Amino acid sequence: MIVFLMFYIIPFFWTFFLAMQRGSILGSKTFIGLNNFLKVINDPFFIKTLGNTFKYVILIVPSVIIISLFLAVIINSLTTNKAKSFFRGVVFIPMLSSVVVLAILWKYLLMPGPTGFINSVISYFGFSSVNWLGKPFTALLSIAILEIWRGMGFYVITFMAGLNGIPNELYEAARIEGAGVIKSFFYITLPLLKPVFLFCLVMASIWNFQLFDSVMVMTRGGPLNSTATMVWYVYRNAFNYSKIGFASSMSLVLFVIILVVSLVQIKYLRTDIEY
Amino acid sequence: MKKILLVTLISLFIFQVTVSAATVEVWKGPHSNNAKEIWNSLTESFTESTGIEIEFTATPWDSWDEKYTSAFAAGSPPDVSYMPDEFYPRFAVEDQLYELDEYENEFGSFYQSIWDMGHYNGHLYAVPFLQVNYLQYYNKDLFDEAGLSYLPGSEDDDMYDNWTWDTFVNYAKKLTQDTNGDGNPDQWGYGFSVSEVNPNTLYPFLWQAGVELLVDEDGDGSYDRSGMDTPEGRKGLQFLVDLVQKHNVIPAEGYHPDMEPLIDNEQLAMTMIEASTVARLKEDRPEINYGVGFNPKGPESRAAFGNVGFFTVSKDSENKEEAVEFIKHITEKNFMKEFLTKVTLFPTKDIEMFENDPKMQVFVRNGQYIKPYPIVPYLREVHDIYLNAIEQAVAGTISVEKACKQVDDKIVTLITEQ
Repeated sequence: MIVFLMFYIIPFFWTFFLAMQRGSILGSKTFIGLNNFLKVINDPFFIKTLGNTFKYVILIVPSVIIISLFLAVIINSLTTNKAKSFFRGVVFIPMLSSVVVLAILWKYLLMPGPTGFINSVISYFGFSSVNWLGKPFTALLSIAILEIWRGMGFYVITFMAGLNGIPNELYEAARIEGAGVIKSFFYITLPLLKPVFLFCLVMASIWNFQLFDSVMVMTRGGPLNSTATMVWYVYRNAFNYSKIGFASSMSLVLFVIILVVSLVQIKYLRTDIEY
Repeated sequence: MKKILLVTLISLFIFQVTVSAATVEVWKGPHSNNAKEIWNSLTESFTESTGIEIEFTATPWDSWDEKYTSAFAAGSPPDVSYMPDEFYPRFAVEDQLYELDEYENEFGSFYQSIWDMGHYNGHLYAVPFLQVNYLQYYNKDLFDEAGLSYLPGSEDDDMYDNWTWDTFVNYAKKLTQDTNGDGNPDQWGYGFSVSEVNPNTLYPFLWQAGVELLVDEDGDGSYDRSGMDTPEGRKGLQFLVDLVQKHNVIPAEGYHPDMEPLIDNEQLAMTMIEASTVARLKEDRPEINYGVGFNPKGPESRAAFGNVGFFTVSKDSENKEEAVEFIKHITEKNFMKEFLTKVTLFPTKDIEMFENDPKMQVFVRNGQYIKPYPIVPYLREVHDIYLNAIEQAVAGTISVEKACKQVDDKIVTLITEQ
């Protein structure tokens, strides 16, 4: 309880306090009421990062959920436990690695010209080199792909746990009734995975709304601020510009956005199915 | 059992108090791969003679802001912090640094302009320790193949007067080639990136055109605006834009994330480097035949980038006297020379260094062209404003005129907010 108070409750209310101040985190502050919030909603750069963040969420969340579910079903259908464990481990490895290390690795793989491995392969097949991190669309896509690849492991494991909880009798009964693999998937697997699906969707949304590390390492918000996220902008204001009040108000706006999105997801996707 | 525990706790407390009374915690960003080992070996003699232990931590540059800001905000900063010129004023203005006025005459004699940079609002906060200095790298083999004269590294060189913006552009164009015949250049005449964190390799072109980053228009001692929305600003920015859009001599249209692999693969004929690259190439790629030379002379000057690193004492330090003693020791000429020779950087005092290294001697001579940063607490934001506008202009999303005006408008707003 003390830990919860010290690391969650107090910082949360302290953020509210800071959001109504003007001044540096290091020095004196002046109370300015809600001016920081007004500044946030009128800041064109904040609006840009808001748009970028939504682009990431829309790109990453459905992709990582669908790909992870697909992989979970495939791995779960393997006949031997050894094979299941092996592939489960393979998809989980990126989750165990430091995101900074992975981002640096990807940055060098994506280097323009023959220096980058991916461009070397592309050139080998006769295509032109791509400036992956130098163009707004491909830079955002590159970061999204990294995050999908990195996040897959967690959702695969979670979906596999959900799949293991579906009684085999249901599939047997469906087989007896003449249902094939596809029908079984859509009429048995998916409905009974709904609680797991909801959990993964909410967690993926929360995490990707807070995207920061890979942006910081790979592009620092560029090119042309096309990959800058809200959390990246919060960081810049808090630590580079010493505008802790403005940064705190932005983080509270982000909190409200994430809360609303999560509540909407829970309201419309929750299920009372028990089995 | 309780008595044993109590005695143990009291002993540990006494031990800790005893230790911390003579221990100075030093944080510094690394200037070499083995920063901690170098510092520990060099500060042994200080510990032996004074009894003051030094606890050195090499703090990563990437997370500098959050590490130091968090430590100072939490009231647990290190006793001594290494802060470059663009970082320390923010801490000084927030009353986080110990004023060193009473020790003004105890640190020895520094280059005057550099010594002055350690003063903010009339107080001494930061003692200068080292200089970083950028100049032109060039690949001699590529120059030989193109039949071009080498870059000047001294005022006596034949190329010195001819090394101008026009010559620079001609060189870059001749050195940009499609060597594998696929229709796209794969050898580049010059390299810079608009996606870098710092504008170290971009500002010199603006300065060479006559731009001042910040201008005190009314002469009241404080800055009012930028020097970008001027004919000089437009000229400087247009030069950068033309290198990418008109002359096509820059790799990846200005977005190549790292020049070092291009240098290593000998795909880059010229770029700006700092002295640590010389040390790295000596170690990793001794076979590359390269030289270093001055920047080209622009319409106004041959300005180069360089900045100064300082040591500061935190106001919350409980070992201020010991911290000051430590700084006095490391800013003595012998220590400076020994340390800076190991990390290939330059002193802030008049010390003969790198006498037998022709490349490093060019860096030393280049020191006369260095344009110091204005010492203001909001310099990081100034950099971002400039970088953002330069990037947009180079990418062609806004015109040079609009970019220059954008810089000026944002800088005026920034200054007004202070």
